[in-house]
Amino acid sequence: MPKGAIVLFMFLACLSLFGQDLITITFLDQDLGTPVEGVQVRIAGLKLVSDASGRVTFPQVTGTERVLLTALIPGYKIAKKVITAADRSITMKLSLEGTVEGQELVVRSTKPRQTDAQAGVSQVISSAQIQTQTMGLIEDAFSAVKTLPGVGYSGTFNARPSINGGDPNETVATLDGASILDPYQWQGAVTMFNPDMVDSIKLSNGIIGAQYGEVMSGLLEVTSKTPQDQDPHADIGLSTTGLDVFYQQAFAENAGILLGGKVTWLEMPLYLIGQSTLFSTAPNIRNGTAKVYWNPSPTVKWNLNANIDTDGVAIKLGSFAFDISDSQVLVSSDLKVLVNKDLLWNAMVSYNSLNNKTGFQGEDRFDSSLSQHSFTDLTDYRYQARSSFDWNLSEGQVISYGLDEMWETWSKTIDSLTYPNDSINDFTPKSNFSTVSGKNTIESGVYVNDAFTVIPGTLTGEGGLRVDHAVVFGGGEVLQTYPVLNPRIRMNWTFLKDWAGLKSLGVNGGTGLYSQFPADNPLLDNKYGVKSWEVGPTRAWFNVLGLDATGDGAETLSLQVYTKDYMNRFYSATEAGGDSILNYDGTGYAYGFNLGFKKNTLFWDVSLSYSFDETELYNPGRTGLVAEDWMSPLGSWYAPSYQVEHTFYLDLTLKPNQEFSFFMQGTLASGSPTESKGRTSWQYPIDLKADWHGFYPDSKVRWEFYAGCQDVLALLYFVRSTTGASFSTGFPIPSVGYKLSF
Amino acid sequence: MLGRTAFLLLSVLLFANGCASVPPGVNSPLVLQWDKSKTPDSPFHLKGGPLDNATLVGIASVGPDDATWTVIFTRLEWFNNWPNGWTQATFLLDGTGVLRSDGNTWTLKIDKMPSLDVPESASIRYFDTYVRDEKGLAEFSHRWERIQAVTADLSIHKFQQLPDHKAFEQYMFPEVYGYSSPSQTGQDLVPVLGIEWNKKYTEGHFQERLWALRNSGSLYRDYQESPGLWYLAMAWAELAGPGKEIQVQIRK
Repeated sequence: MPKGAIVLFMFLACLSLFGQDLITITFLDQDLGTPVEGVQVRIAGLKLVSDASGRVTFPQVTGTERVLLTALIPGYKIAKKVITAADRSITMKLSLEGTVEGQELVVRSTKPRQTDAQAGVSQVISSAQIQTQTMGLIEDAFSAVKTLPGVGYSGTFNARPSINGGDPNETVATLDGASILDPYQWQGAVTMFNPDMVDSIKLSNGIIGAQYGEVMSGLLEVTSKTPQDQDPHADIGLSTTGLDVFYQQAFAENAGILLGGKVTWLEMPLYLIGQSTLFSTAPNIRNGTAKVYWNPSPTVKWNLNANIDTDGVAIKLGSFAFDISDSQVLVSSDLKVLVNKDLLWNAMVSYNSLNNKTGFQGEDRFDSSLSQHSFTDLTDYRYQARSSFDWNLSEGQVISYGLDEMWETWSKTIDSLTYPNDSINDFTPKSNFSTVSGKNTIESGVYVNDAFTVIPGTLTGEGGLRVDHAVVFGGGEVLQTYPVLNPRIRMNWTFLKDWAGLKSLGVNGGTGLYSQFPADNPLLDNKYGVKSWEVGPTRAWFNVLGLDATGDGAETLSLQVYTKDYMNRFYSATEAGGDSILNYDGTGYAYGFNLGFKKNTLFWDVSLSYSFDETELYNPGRTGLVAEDWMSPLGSWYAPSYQVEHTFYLDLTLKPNQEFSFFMQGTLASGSPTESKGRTSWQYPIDLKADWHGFYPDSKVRWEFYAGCQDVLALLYFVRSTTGASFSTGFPIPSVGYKLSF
Repeated sequence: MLGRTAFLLLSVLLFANGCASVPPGVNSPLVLQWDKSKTPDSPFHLKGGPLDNATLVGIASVGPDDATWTVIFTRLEWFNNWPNGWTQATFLLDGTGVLRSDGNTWTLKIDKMPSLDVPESASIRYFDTYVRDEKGLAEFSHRWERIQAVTADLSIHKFQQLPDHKAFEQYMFPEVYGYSSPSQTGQDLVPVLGIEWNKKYTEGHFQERLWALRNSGSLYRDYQESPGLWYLAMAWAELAGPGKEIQVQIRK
């Protein structure tokens, strides 16, 4: 015991001066919460006894001294506490002798509400799961989402899967609540979501609530990390293809910043494998992200996000040239204010700009004497605003209501000369030049949603209604669309708990209408056959029935059966004169089921998923119209190019010890439709990753080394897909990475 | 070629892992980092030996002659990392002792053994989550309380001397590290995260108040994440019982 403190305390105790700063300690029974009288207190030479209210009072500690307080009373464990000058009033809970605090040291960060998984609606991938699965040329947080039940196989380098049989464009991605024009880079090969910036990803592919508009087949909500620690932390990742650096720090208990970015350097590995001349501009990604948060009071939370993402690649080989150049800026800010204990106000504004340029020039693949080209230049600006309230009406009942507005202003230039029917030796050229500028689309939505509880913990549900509307203007015309009503309802019934190895077993089901308007379609114009008040958004009637089981060992089994009917689907066709028109009388259906199983242990984690989907679309067309390409024929039912009937995923992580893990991702997927009305062959890519990690001795610096290989069996079955943007390389891709964090 | 490379890589990784769990240097000397030229009071740090990851901090005051110093232990600083995190804690101490030199060696005699009952501060990194301040202290205190409850019994009934890692692990968690004697398979097993805890073993080797903690895997997690704390708890009593003299090496 520091001598100075003892002398000081004895002196102060003897003087007992009025006006002296005092400290009060209250002793309570830990279990009962009642005051404990008669506690003998020893502190700095003083001996005190607590009164009937369990209190003792003595002079406050001064300066920087810390003194030890010991409290004794028969029947209770001896309690000790360090007292400092900052202490004024302390409550100490005394526990009965012979008991041990059973609370486990399970450190888990508090997750915001939007990251919580809901049975039958959404699945959540945590930061740790993302880190386990990411590897390869570009570490992409989305790679952990691709293996979830309901997500169809899309290819090794294609981050745009079909979810529950829907078009990839029907899936909407948001970052901290702001929807993103184009979350993909390299034409959909990867996403902009860096594993080091992501705290969690939630994929909703069930009956999602009325709060969400402009989404039909999947909502991908990405939540970025929120720095909570006042010590600075950095994550540095060095891989074969690039460098990632992220920095985060909280400035106080209520504010913090996250900064980071990615830079690729594929020039180096290309040089090492002797392919430095393959690209005129090597594939590149340059991404930067920043997040600031400030919670000025316990009832007010504010976030500001800014992202700048660019990517590109260019190839020039003789007369063949191909290039991609994309840049995107996303700035968003959201505010949450707890107006009173039952009412929360959410507000969000965002700005999103996108410039996407693609170009292709080369000879026709069936007749090398013919030259074709295609250039596209899209510039899009999106402004978004949302305001909503969550009203906690009573226990287990939350009514949400709000409105959202999205304004897109865009221009697009297309210049192409192609031979769309060259495969059948018809070399009639099709020339297309269009330039649209100053186009605007405003999409509005208003909703009310009720999340209710009928029997707490057993029977819950959610029902709501939203109205969506869009108007297109600019270019000398106003195109009015009719508003649509989108009612939705869902119920969850957990009918069995703690029985025969099951922790819970429940069923869920729901139905709902969804809509999506193609805001930046250049054919949304009177001159392409579109008429005001006749056109509306594409709609889908979605039905889901599901079953969820959780075992005693925390293993989970889920089954989701779905049907989907499309109405008023957009498709383009060509008139006899060669002009394009836009139709919106397309129909279609999808049905299927998704099965998922997951179990985690200290030594291994396994996740199995199987998705079956059957989707067919129908474009009625009319006399005099011809299809623009084989992917959208007229007058017959067809399977869309993105459709995959069977997708089977196995994720297996072996953890023989705490330092080492071995990850395997196996996929078995049936083929997708081809131009010849057949299907590509089955694919069975396997990715492997060995990871070794730990901390440097006696330090807080974490290191990680991994070696991985994507698509190790690629050479056995290489199928060059002819559908959309497929970047399958046809050979295994090894990668190594080294990461440091502190 | 690829297979051979992979095998070599795995071998290196697993071998390196084996090297990573070195027992604490129970038999290594205690080292007193002390600049005794700073009189009358000079701070010191005591490391090594059974203290392992801990550093004992205090103040030495010169006595009647330069060969006798009065020692006050003020705090103990502890740090331990494991492959997925680290734990840092400080204990406030109130112990005293005497440091004497016979001209060649220095010995430390504990007069008042400081107790390790009061963690003053603690912070924890668990994967990507950091827990500090009151929450960090509360969570660390719970862990320390559990460890003390177990090791107090072990020190009396099982290990009168500090055990080596293998003996300790096999006694505490034979379901993971193997039974030192023929296993009692087929007992009442409790599966938790892939480990089947043997309830009969728990009941036969631990006090009732610890059964739930052991069968839930809590104690195993305590050991996984901070093995050094268990050895510190057991070594503390052995380190310096009242009146015991310990030889220390002096370093500036």
